[in-house]
Amino acid sequence: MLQKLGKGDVDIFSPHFKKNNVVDSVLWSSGWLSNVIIIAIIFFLFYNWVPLFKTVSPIEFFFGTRWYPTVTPPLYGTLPLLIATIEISLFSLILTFPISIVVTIFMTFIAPKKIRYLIKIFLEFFSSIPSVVLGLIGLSIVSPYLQNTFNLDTGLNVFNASLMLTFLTIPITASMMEDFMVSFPREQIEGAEALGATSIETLWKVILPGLKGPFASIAMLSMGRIFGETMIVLMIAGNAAIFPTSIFDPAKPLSATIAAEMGETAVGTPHFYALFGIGVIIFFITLFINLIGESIRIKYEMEMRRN
Amino acid sequence: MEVSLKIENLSAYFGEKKILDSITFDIPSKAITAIVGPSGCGKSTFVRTINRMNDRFENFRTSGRIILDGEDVLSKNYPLESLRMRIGMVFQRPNPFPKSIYENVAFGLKIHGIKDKKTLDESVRSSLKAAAIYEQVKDNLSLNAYKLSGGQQQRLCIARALAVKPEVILLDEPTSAIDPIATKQIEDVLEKLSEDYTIVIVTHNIQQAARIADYIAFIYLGKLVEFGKAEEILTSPKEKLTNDYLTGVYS
Amino acid sequence: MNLYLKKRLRKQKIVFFTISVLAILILVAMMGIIVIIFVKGIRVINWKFLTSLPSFDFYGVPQGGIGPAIVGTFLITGLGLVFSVPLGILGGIFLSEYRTKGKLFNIMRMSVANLAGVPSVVHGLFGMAVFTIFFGLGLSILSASLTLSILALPIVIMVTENAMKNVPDSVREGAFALGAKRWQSALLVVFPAAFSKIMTGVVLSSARIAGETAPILFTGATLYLTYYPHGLNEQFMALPYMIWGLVTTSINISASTPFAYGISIVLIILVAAMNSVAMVSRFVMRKHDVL
Repeated sequence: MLQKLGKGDVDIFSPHFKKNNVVDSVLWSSGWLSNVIIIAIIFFLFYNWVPLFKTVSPIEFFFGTRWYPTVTPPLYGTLPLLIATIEISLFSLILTFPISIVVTIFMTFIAPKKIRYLIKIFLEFFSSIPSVVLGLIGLSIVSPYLQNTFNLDTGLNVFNASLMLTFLTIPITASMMEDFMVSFPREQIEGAEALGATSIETLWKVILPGLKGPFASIAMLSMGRIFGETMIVLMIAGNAAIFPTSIFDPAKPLSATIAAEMGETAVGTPHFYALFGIGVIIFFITLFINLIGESIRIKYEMEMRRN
Repeated sequence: MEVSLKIENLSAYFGEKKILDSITFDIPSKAITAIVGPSGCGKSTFVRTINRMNDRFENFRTSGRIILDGEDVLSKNYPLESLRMRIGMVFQRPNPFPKSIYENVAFGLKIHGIKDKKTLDESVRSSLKAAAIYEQVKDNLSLNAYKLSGGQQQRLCIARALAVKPEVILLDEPTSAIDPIATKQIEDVLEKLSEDYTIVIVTHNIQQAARIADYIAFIYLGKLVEFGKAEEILTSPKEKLTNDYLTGVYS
Repeated sequence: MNLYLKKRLRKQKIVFFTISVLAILILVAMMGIIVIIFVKGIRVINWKFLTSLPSFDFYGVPQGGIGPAIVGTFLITGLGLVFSVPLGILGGIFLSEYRTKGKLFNIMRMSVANLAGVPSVVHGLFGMAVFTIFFGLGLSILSASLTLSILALPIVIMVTENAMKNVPDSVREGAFALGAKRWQSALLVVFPAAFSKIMTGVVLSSARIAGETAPILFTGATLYLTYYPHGLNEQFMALPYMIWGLVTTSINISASTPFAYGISIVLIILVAAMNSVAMVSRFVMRKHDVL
């Protein structure tokens, strides 16, 4: 007879886990805490958003092209804010991604070991600089420079915000890339080298194509981070709720709108509800971006394990 | 011969794969029984089935019985904690906890509810003595166990297993990761311990079995080929397979 | 050496040279940012700046110091950790030591990653809705630190889980073979073994929450206090929030900017100190490595 082993007392890793005592239950509940918080976040965002629809239609909220919360009657169209966020995020990602690759290649292929170690420490340090400090740089140094050099109305614009977001994101993006680069399967590299490939050829033809998956997931995760970043865009995107047509136009991204206006609105007003609605949009779009990033990463890891 | 563990028709599976096939024999009490056989034959699985270490793998299944004191330890009603108090285990690679020597040995007692400092001290001392490591560490029981040499770590692991006063001690190739001198020390310890404990040792080293074993069980491809007194198995095996193994055909 | 190989090697040289130049430019620019901050802000830093209360003269030029902001940042960061670290460690222990293959378990792990990805401004909204309004804690140190603790929670969980997973399985088997229950192996053996690594991670995550601005915007931070807070139900000043306030809302922005740089230096030194504590402890650990 094939007997299935005891249910109550199976060991670690078994799927038949049953909570046997208080400690198990406490640990089990803590494991679920993140879920509870996520659900609570969703609940409270909706709870403070839904009353908006007593006065504003969902279509106007999502597709309205004007965000003028202080005129009478107020207008709560979030489309220009969303477009501004997308534009800034994409532009920043376009800058971040290749720059991070260049820095990563320099670290892993060119720099001597000691220098590489120093760069790693520096990137770790730089990544801990609070975003408000980068906002300060953008505001007081980059902005006047842009304004004078390009003869603009304002140096607080999409380009400036994207640039500072790029500085914010390079360290983590590059260090994620470096992790994958370093753990790239040795045999494949040796295989290419045994055929007489130069290191640049190995890099171009073997390593980078092999890392397509992880790099795609890194791009998504960086994007998720850029998308919801607040202080930099609050300080230097220009705070103008228009559709930015050029990268030198000012803009008002979603997150900056919440940060700038929440302090000036009263609890329970349509404006208050609308700001929570923007929170809902940010929450779900970043969730979506992160989920894609995560699933690409998991898929890659599973492929690696199979090989 | 007094019997400690009765193995009855024991089979074990990982998923669909049968690792042990209908093994039946009695493990004698207060003696050293060596489990020998070529690598991959199921020796390790056999001892890990006795104290149910393999329960942690979800696709692991067994059938048959292992009787200890008239009770089937494979039964799901048999409490795992008390099983492991009665059957101790020492692993292939020394695996002390990253704690002090004292805490390592006292761990088993502490988790089973013994708090009295005097009892703990006494038990730690006697266990370390029994594992022949006390003299080397007595002045520094608070030293982290990872600072010990491989052979010392392994004897510490034996002391740790002894502290909970088991009846049976399982050893899964305990000397395969340490040097010959340390191996000799551990073999001496085991011979001494066999006066009071039932010892089951897995080894792929037939000389080791010859040196210390009172009984030998030869397992091949998951089946028990032969079991008997060590000198009989070594000098006049009944089965051709055993003879081939002893003369080095499979090693 | 044939001509073709020569050509390939030359190509490699050119590409590597270009990459090096670009990478060095980027790194120099990043270092430049730090240098600029120090050059622009070092003038205002002195003992009075660090310890006294803020004040402004008639023309909006900041006169005093940032004492309450330093205190406030330490308070909310410390309290945020007090709330998040114990719970995060328990959650991380569960994820590492009670791994199962079930679907529910994957949901659990996924939600930790997702919570870590929630933008800080959303944390701010949530904190305001729950702590400030729903639980009636108002704009207060308590509301803000609870909000920060939710931001820190998934980081602590992930740090703990990774540190615990690094402890070899043989150690767990040793505990199980002595009859340890799962929680005994987790809390009495694996957790102590991973403890110093977990603490390193906690220090690093505290550097992150110390610099957060968005979550405290609507949960209790204020730009100007002429006293040190007496209780957890009062509003507070914080370094990052003060930087923002000085350069965007003060009456005399150009006079306030050096002040903002001065605060940036303090903030950077603060996070750098936390980083180096983590780095040194990592180094020391490697030296006395037990695992």
